[in-house]
Amino acid sequence: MPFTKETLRKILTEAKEVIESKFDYLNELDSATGDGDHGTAILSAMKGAVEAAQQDVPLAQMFQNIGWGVMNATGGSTSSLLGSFFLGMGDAFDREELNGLGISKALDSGLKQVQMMTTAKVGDKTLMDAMIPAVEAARLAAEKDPEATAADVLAAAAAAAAGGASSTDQLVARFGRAKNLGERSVGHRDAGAVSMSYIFQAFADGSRQ
Amino acid sequence: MVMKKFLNKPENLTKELLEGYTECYNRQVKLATEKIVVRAEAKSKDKVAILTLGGAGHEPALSGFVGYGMLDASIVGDIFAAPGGPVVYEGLKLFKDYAGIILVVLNHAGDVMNAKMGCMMAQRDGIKVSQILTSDDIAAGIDAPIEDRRGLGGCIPLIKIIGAAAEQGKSVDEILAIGEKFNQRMATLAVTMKTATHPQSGQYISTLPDDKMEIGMGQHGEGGETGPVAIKTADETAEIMIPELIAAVHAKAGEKVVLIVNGSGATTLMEMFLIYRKSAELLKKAGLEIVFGRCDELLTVQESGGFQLFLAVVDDEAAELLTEPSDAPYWVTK
Repeated sequence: MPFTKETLRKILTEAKEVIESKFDYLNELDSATGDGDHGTAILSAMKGAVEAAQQDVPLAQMFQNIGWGVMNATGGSTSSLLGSFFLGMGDAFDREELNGLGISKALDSGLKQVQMMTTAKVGDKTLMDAMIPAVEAARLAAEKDPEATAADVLAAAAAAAAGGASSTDQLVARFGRAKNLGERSVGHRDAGAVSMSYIFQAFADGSRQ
Repeated sequence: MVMKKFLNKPENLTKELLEGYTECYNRQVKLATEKIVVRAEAKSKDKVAILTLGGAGHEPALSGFVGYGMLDASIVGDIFAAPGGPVVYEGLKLFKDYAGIILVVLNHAGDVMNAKMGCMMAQRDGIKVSQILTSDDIAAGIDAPIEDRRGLGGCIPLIKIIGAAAEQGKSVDEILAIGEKFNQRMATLAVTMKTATHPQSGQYISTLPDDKMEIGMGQHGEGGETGPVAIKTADETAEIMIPELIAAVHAKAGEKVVLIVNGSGATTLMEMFLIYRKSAELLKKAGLEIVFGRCDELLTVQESGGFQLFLAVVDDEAAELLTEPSDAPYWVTK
């Protein structure tokens, strides 16, 4: 099944619901090393995303509207990072249906936009620990099988994002508010990486149905 | 979780506190949009506008310093979170016809990124914005790279100085030079006794055992470098902190300094005066002349117990600008 505007709307609604159900957990995770509001920030962001996706515009434009919607709806680093990701995804294509290769290129473009905002890399204990491996896995899956569907590619991305999020347990924070804890941040999972992995999981689930 | 705070709906918190604040001080400030506080009477457009951005929950910072002689606008995010890029852009656009715009940015990941995003959007409209990044926190060590130094309460005296310079009709370049000069020789060290709860989620922002304090915590109560230590007396605490601040700003005997004790929310003025007393004594012993001193709540962290100790070396020009008139609700100078 190709990835369309309908898919995107469904995915965002599901992602918002998952984050709603994990709201307290995400705030708690962030409370251990940050200032305890990641759940609040990411839920506002997803509400903004769902609302921005209601307008009937071309798919690429819809991704961009979602980016602006996220940035308008929330603040902090979530605003510019997640906002840039969707904004960048909308820069990569002008079709109404995406296959595996199409979605992987969109993800790649989204990541590039995020990297204009932050220099955080894998291993710095941020949401990039989920996002970078996910985009990479999507690219590999699309390259390996040119026939791959969007759902196949997004499943690979979701698995990599989940792995990336759990890898943050053992990492020392190098960005954001947790940075000043240094070694004491070890043993806590990064809230941003966890919510990013939920979003990728929603993309995988939503594009399969 | 039940919080012992007087609140309404968490999602309306920032909007409501700004409404109350601007209503209370309506002779000095008003709301331009839901989360942008501006002066009640705008300054003339032939002068440079001074703006800042930041999360709420730190009252009176930062909106308390909007007014004649200080800020033209404060662009507010949600509790402890910087405003999103589009909101920053909205704020910048309000001042597009001014002689220039200087945006004071506190060094926190979200603030820096959203300021960048807002400036990028403004740039597309041909609006030029200069930034001053404050990173006065020395918790990560006095030689720590800029990116490891957070922006704490030091932005407030800096805003006072550049705000006064802007009022005198100085150019963007002149104001930037004055601001950067002050910025380079200011330092802040925070100490926390009791941590705060996030007023929207009710979550504790880190924890501290009852018998411990922690030097070097950030202004959201996030952890410091050293970890918790046994509670010390006011004098002992000042004796630990002042030498580090002197070293950080490279203060030499004969130089003029500014000393500010900024309470975090639950620390009494009584305690602040004890800290100030010992700090002033130590600075004088080091041959430094205190030309400006203050004990007050300028930038708070909810019900957090503790304070930020601020030291800056100033020249005559900065010292004078600090005492120029201001009618910002939380920094009134006649």
